[in-house]
Amino acid sequence: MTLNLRNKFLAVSGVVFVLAAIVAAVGISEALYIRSQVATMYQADLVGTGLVSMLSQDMLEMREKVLTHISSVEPAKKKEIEADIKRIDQNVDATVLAIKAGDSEGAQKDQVAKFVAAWSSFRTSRDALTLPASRVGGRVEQALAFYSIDENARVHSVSDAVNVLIQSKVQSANDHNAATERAFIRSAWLITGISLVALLLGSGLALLVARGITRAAAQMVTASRGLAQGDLNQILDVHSRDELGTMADSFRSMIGYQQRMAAVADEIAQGNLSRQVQPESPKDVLGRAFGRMIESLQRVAAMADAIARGDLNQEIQLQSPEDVLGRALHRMIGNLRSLIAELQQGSQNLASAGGEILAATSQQAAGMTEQSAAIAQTTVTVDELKASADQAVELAGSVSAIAQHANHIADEGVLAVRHATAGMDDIRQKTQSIAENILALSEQSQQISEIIATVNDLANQSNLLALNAAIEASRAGEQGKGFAVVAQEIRLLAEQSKAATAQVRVILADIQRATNAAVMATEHGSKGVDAGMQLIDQAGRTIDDLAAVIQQAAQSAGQIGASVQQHSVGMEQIAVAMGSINQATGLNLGATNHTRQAVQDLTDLSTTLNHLVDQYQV
Amino acid sequence: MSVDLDTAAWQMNEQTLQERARRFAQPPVEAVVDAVLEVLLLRLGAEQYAIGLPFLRAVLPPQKLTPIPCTPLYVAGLLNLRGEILIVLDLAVALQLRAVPSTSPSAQVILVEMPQVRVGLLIDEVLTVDRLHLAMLDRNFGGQPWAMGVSGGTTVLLDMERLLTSDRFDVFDELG
Repeated sequence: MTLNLRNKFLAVSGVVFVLAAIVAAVGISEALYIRSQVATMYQADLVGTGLVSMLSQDMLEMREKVLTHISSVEPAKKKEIEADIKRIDQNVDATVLAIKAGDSEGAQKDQVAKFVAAWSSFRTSRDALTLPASRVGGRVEQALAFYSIDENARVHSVSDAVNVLIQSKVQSANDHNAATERAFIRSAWLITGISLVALLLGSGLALLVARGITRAAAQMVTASRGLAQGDLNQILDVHSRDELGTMADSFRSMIGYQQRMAAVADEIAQGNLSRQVQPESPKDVLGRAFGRMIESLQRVAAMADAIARGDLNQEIQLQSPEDVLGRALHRMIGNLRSLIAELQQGSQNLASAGGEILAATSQQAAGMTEQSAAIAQTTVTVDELKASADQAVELAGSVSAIAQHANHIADEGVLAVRHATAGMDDIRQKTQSIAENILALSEQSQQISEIIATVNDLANQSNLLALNAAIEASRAGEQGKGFAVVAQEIRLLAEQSKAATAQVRVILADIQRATNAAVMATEHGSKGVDAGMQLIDQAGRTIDDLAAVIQQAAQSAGQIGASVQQHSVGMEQIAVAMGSINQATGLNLGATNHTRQAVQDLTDLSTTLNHLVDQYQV
Repeated sequence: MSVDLDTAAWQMNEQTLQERARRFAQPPVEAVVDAVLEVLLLRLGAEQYAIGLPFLRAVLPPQKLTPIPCTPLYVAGLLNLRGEILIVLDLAVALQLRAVPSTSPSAQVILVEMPQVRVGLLIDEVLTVDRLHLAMLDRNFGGQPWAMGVSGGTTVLLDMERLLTSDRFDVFDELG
């Protein structure tokens, strides 16, 4: 039997299958065992326990019925109770039968037998003693005595038997449960162990087989990747007896074939078309294709040789509709033919165009000379402009200086106006104080007038006194003569005083008129000062406005100067640019001369070209 | 010629001036030395009168007069002089210089005292005290009996005794 890949896989699968089957068998048998244990537990223990509980219930009911029978007095009631007692008896018998049927293992046989013995003893005693005693009306005490002595003991033994039965059932259930637990643990360990062994064995075998396949596949992948990239120097070290080995053999022969074909292609690439290619087999498409390729290339080479010799009268047979080379050659010959024709036409045109260019170049040279003259004129004009711009800059500077001077003067004017305002204020204050002084003077002159009135009064009285004194003196006769003279003198004094007061009054009137006039004058003066202040304020504002205007004028002059400066700079730049243009024109003139020379050369060249083109047979 | 005339005129003027100087240089000739009377000059209306000082007792300051009803027009009113009640007569009315009582602001009362009578006279203005030469009085001016004469052509010297005792002042008759 050969160890090919299929057989290897089958062997590994077989081993794994057998192990899985073992695991399954063990699992099923263990599960069956656990199931039987559980069923037994349910059937025997749970159901049995229920039945025994029923027995216990029946016992309690029986006791109640018997006591009711004893205590009741009506015969009908007693009969009814006796029927109930019979039913309970039947129930107990059925239950005992069921327990016996359930206890298939016979574990509780003794207990059941003990219960049955106690039960039959109780029934016998009851039917023979207690119930008959109870049936007869007046023997309740006796019946109770029977029951308490005899039946009570038997009832207790029956109850004990039932209890023992229940304990035995619980014990049995516990035993079954423990057995089930053990079986489960055992089966779990068994299944786990066998599964582990199956897993390890299966994995090991699979790894072994997979490693062999992977190694061979990796080598072949490397080789085929190299082939895909065109590297034909591939060595395969796979010699197994399975399909991989066969595959490696065919890979090696394929590599050999490709190396041979590559050698042929290499020779073709080096231009050696003399190589004969024999197909490896009737189905060797590549070999036959190489043969046809060499033939086709040989034909194309012959044709190209003819074209190279100048023979453009070649007809190209297309090998197929997709013959790119053939069509390219065809197009090449066509294009060459039209090219030669166009070349002939073009060289003739070139010759005539050269003549025209020569004429044009001569004209251009003349034009450039004129341009040079114009540029020179422009340069002179620009220089003049620049000179005038410089003058403008100077003028703007002087205007600015004058404006600054004017500004200074305006500042002084503002200062003077401020002084004038202060002076006016002073004048106003002084006028005010003059007015006040004059008013005080007027009041004082009023006082003087009052005093004068008093003096006048005094003079009048003095006059009167003098008159009376004169009268007294006259009455005194000769003795009064001297006194009369004194009286006369006093009277004269009084008259003089009166005259003086009159004079003073006149003077006072003059003074009052004068003070009134002075008050009016100060009033006028005050108003005049106010008007003066207003005028000065106006003058100040006017000077301020003037200063602002002058400031603006100065700024404008500065701006004009700056812009004219810029103009001057611009003019300079224009002058430089004109120089550059002049230089460029000179260069252009030189270039035009060179062009003329080149066109001459071109014309010569076209003549040569004509000769060359004429050699081709179109 | 004209020079001669001018010179003649000038000589004449000089003669006149020299003559006048000589005359002024003479001391004044006292015509009548004996009779000199001191008088009080006063004004009544537009005229000037004089009263001899011996008749006067005092010149009173201007005072308020208390009019007396049912009396002749020349009675100006009563005057309280230091407790003494005086009758005051309007002299201008009394002399028939005007019909209505004096209203002059400078009107004054002079106290006349004679042995028979003591009375106040209301006058328009007291002028001054002067001395009159009785010899120089013009006594022949054909005036009223109460006028002693005219001095200097303007001043009438009143004779107080005659005036106050004349029949025109009935009141004093009764008193006298």
